[in-house]
Amino acid sequence: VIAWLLWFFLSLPLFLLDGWLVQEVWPVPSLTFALCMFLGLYARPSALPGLLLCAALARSVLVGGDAALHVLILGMPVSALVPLRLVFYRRHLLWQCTAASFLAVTVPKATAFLGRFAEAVPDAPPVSWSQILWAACAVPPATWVLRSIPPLSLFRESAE
Amino acid sequence: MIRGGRRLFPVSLYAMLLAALCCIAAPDLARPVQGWCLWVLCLPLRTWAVLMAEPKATPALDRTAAASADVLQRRLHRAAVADIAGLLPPGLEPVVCAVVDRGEIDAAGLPSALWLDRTVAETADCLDIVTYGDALLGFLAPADAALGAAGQGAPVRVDLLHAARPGRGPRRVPCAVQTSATLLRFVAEPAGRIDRWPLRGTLFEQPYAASRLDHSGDPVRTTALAGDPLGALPAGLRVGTLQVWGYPGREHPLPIGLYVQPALDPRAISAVVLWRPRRPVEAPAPRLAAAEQRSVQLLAVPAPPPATERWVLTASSREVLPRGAALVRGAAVFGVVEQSGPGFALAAPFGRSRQLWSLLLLPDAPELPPIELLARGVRRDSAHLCFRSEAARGPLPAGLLFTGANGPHCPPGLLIGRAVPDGASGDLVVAPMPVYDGAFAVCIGREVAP
Repeated sequence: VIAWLLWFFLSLPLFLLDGWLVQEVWPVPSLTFALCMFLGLYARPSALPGLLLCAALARSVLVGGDAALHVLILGMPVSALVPLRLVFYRRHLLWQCTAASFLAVTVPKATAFLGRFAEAVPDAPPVSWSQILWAACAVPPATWVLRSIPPLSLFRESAE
Repeated sequence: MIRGGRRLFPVSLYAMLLAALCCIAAPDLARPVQGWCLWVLCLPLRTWAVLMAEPKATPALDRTAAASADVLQRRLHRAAVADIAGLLPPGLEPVVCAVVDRGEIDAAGLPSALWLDRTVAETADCLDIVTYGDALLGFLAPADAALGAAGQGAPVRVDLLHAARPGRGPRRVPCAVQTSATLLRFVAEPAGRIDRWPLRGTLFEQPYAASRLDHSGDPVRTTALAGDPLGALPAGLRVGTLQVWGYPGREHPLPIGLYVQPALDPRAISAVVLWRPRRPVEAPAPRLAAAEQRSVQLLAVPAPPPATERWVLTASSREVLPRGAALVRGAAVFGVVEQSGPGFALAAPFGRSRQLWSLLLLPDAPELPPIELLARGVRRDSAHLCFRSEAARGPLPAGLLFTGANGPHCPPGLLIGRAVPDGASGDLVVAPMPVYDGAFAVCIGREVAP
């Protein structure tokens, strides 16, 4: 319960930090992508709906639109990554970079596509190659940080 | 390596995605629960906002914005009564009214009713026609109990030309179009909800001539019809433009239906004119209360892409601020409330979302009338707002951009900023006014639409 409460209240500061990093440090929302990568590759499958719901609620506060919309925006790339655990043997770094690039393309695309159904979501800019490269470099270490510290470390899959 | 289908294909995750899809289709299902979750989730953010935002007195009206709003009012009034002098009977005087709300979607997916900032009692002696310039927009709603007419102190309603008026029947308008060969008279009536245009032509005087119409865009004007059972209308008022819809032909389309595109888009109308017998001495007219302003404290917080900035608003009372309410300082608008709970709200900069806005452009050239626009915010860069007009019109002039009528909580005449047309795209680019943490206000109007 404590882990869930922690994640419920810390998901919003995580996205706040992501917004600050995008404005001040680097041009891609690395923590959003890192969270998706954690959910797709490292999280306990049974905990996925709860983790995703809290993240979607927090993202809806800062980006706009209903939480259901953000469940789909974050959940669709995650649901594509989950079956790939079969081939992501020992979480090789190259695979992580590939997954980060995949997320750097699909999350903005999903935002642009699904955002058409919600007027409150701003128009998503097109993704550039430099942003994909940035994501490939920055997201794996960010994912490592996320899965190493609570509360997300408490939801890590035991078989990892 | 993980084994087992359930781990690789978690049913609960896919079930949740399916449920989210259902919630998007029916958003009202999940909103109450979501509201409570957000209220709890935002507790730390609100505490931070209360601690960080320094309480200040609400600043006085910004002089530039207020002066610009006055100029807009004067030029809007002038444009609203232009070109109609010879079309109406003598001895009438105009009553220029602001639109405060719009009705439900009707024919062609457009709202069919407008509510004005005047009461039923105030407009008791007005004619039933409603105009803007030389365009006929609709009719004052009749005082009929079957239509749910409101009390004397309620805002007056305008039924647009395409309003179905259940229980009473539509107000059909006798009109005419000047073709290359002849003057073709017909009756315009409300079209269907799925039709492309809100008015349909019927009862053509010369059906053969109607079947030979080969192009759209000719102006349609009212005609005097002797013995009109619905009451005589002044002739020559602009109804809209004729639209020919039919099978594509070799030389010209074979018409199946003839429609009329109204002169003004009902979603963009911000002001209308009523007409009443001239009064010898102008008595001060009691007006409906304008939207009230509630003081709030603003704290800017960073947001991940595609949003760039989000504002946490904290109010002194525990009142729930309405969604869509304008965040203002004096007569200038900065943002819009998007989510709210008791005593707090989350707002986004005005024009950053994809919402369709009713806007008023006041051109720099003083001889040009204010332009009513229907525009959507599009992404340009973080330093500028950018609006793309929905209607395909020519290049827009530079000028000051104001809000149009966007519901009771976002009244017309709030300054957005100075707009300059972008040469390549024709979009209007606006440099927004700077926003600092501190005291702002949120507009709260009276909900009138059912």
